[in-house]
Amino acid sequence: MSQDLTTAAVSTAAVTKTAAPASAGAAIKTSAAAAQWTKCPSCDAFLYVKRLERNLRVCPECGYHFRLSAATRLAQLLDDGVLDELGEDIEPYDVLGFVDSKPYTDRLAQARRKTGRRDAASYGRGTIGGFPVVVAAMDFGFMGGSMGGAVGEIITRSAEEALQTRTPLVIITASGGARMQEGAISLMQLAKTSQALGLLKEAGVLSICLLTDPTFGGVTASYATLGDVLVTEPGALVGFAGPQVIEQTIRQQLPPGFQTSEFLVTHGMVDVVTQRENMRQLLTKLLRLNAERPDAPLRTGWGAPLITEPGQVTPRPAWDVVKLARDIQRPTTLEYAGLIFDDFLELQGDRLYADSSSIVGGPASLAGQAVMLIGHQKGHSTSELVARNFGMPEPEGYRKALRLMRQAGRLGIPVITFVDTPGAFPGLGAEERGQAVAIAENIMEMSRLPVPVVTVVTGEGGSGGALALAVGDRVLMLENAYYSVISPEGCSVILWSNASAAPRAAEALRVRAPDLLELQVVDGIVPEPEGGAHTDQVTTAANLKEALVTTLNELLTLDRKSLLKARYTRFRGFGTPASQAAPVLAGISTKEANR
Amino acid sequence: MDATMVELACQAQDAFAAEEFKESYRLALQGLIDHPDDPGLLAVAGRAALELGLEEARTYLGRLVKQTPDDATAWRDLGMARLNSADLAGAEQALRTSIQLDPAEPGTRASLGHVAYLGGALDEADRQLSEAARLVPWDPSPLRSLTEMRRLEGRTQAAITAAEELLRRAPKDIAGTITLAELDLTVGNYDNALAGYRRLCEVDTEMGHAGHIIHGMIEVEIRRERWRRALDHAIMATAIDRHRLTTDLLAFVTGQLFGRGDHPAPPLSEIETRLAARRAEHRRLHAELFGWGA
Repeated sequence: MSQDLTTAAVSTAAVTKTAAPASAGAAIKTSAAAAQWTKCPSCDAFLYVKRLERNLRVCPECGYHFRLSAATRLAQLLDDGVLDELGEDIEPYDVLGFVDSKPYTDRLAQARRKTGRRDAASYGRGTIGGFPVVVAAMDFGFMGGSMGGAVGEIITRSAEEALQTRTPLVIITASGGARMQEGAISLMQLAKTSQALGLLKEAGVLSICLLTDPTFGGVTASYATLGDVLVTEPGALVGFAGPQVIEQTIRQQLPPGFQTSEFLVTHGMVDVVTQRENMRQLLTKLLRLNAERPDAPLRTGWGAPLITEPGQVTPRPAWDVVKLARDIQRPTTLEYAGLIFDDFLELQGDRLYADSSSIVGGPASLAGQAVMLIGHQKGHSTSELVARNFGMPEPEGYRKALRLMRQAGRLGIPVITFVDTPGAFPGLGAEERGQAVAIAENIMEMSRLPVPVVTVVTGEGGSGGALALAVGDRVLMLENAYYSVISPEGCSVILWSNASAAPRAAEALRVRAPDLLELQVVDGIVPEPEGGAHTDQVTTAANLKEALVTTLNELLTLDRKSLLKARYTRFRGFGTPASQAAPVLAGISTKEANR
Repeated sequence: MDATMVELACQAQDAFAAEEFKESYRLALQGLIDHPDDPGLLAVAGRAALELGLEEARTYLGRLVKQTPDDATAWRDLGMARLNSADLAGAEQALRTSIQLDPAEPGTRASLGHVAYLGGALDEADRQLSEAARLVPWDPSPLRSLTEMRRLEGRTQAAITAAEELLRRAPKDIAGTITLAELDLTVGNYDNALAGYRRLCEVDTEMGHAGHIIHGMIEVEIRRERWRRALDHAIMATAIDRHRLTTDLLAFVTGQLFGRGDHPAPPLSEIETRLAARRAEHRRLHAELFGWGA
């Protein structure tokens, strides 16, 4: 079986400093180029190969992403297409003496002839967008990209190399799963590679997995899905069991688009789906955002200074503040992301069940400092609000937030959270999937995050649904935000027996920023323009940026132990005798009070 | 041209021959600064740009054909450069000029055939590809395109003729074998179709493909209502995969032989639709694995 000329022609573009993949390089002569045509497997269009290559092997007619060999993929992603290959001593072994319709050794030899590769993966060093990476790439053309001992060794060594040099790791997967011909030794590669990725995570070295079509079985159930960030291309098929096996087992027709990248992102399994033409830029952005760790303090002077004395604010009536906080034109997290941060990349999914659009998050750059930005997300129109579930997250939103916060903790980058929610979504499904557990875990885990955490209540701070993003070292509030254990309407219904007393309830609950500053629930107030944040988004964003930068400059000087101790002390103090005002029932015995 | 410039032109050509297209392009552009109309430098610049996928290819090759209007290769490359920019009409015009200058160049004819097909001129496409196939009797690639074009246009018998010739030239061509077996199935050449699937068992040894082949064999027997043979194949299929279709085929064939059993069998129309989808999937899997034409 000969290698496809078109593939061979492309593979010459991947320059390896060591062994270049065997390919019919001579076929690229111009005299033969005139005859190079291929057909799109998806739309049947005839395609001139050079045009297809120029389009990065994406069909110009239907957008189908052709499968790529490892060499071609690396040529597309690495700077100048150059891989400094390592691990050339790694060879597959026929540990079982396996024979099916032909001996395993014959199959290996056939695959080698076909692809010019030693096995289905290779690794080495390179750069993407100028950022050094250790990269491992799989090749589906070699025995379906199956993982035996050699592939597992390559992935493991790549992780170890990344760990040793503290260089980000990029793994490109394409595989049908574990290699049957190596039996249990193949199965053990799942453990071997996963533990290597585990060590890398513990050490706080960024890992990115690019899941390409197709990735299945033991590869998906190990290193492919263990990266800090999972990215994929449109239409890529990724799953554990293949669709045919699932159909056979459950005896049901699977839905259209099952296990495609679009399905995966909807179900929270991958962070980003992006076109091949944007993949290099995406990886560069991730690497750049990870690398931004300035030594000097962050530049200040972006806007008005943070208010730390309650008397510096002329308070509006509490109910007016509540209405301003809920104004449909009030800026959202994504708008602040664009106005305050130099760069931001939204990551999606809880890696468990779904993606929640009520909470957004991802790495960002604040005045040259890498941060993890997470916030509730509402909208400005009915359709936007419906799409964002009115900023009321289901458990998946909190679990996504927790995943991103843990990632920030591992990578050592500060967390910034923006709170703007009426509350966690009170729904049947939310309860079934553990809404309370999700909130509780967030609160607890935030208290232990080993990096600075700055929270800003930007709009509505609705109870536990807000606190699940608000256990910060510093909790700030926009001037016209509110923060409360219950909505004023809810309080009014319970204590005044009707909702019309909501304005009185708002006053009584002391939900405004100056009240909460006085109660030390918040540490500072970000000033808003006279008419509210929505009347001048740019000025509001500038003030918010100033507050964030000032606060981070203070927190970034603290070591991990001091940070955690101070955060514990901060929340430990609420409701304890020494730290609050005089007891309400001072001088009255419990017996008397109970009467 | 002075000695230094000759040296530069030689270096550019050597770099091109060594497939160092960026370097070749750079050197050619350097030479063109002082000699903007030099055909040698224009050819290297244009062809290197074509290899690099640059829009500039059509500019340099356009200037080249003005300098050397009788150069068939220059016209051909200009045609391909225009095609690379999705300029179908311009590509066709350049390729036709090239063929007028060198009617025996098969690559140009093949490309013109494809361009004609893309423009909807089916007979012209057929004519050019047939001629290209005649000019290179050892090369299966024009026939591969010809077979596919005829198949897609429903010219089934003509497609079979092209596919048979393709397999005569390249007996182990898997894509060709899949196509011919399917075409034979379509027109009722059941013995030939079965023989094609048997050949596939030998040449298409990729893991997971055996199930597709055996389903093809079952389909042949269902079409000619040879139920016992269909049952033999269906039993074999159950040893190969756990695909739901395999179970349904077994139930269907068993039902034809022994009457309705306890496993509900889908109707024939559904079986036919799913088998057709399975054939298309086999074709797609093969194309995804090896590209087109291995």
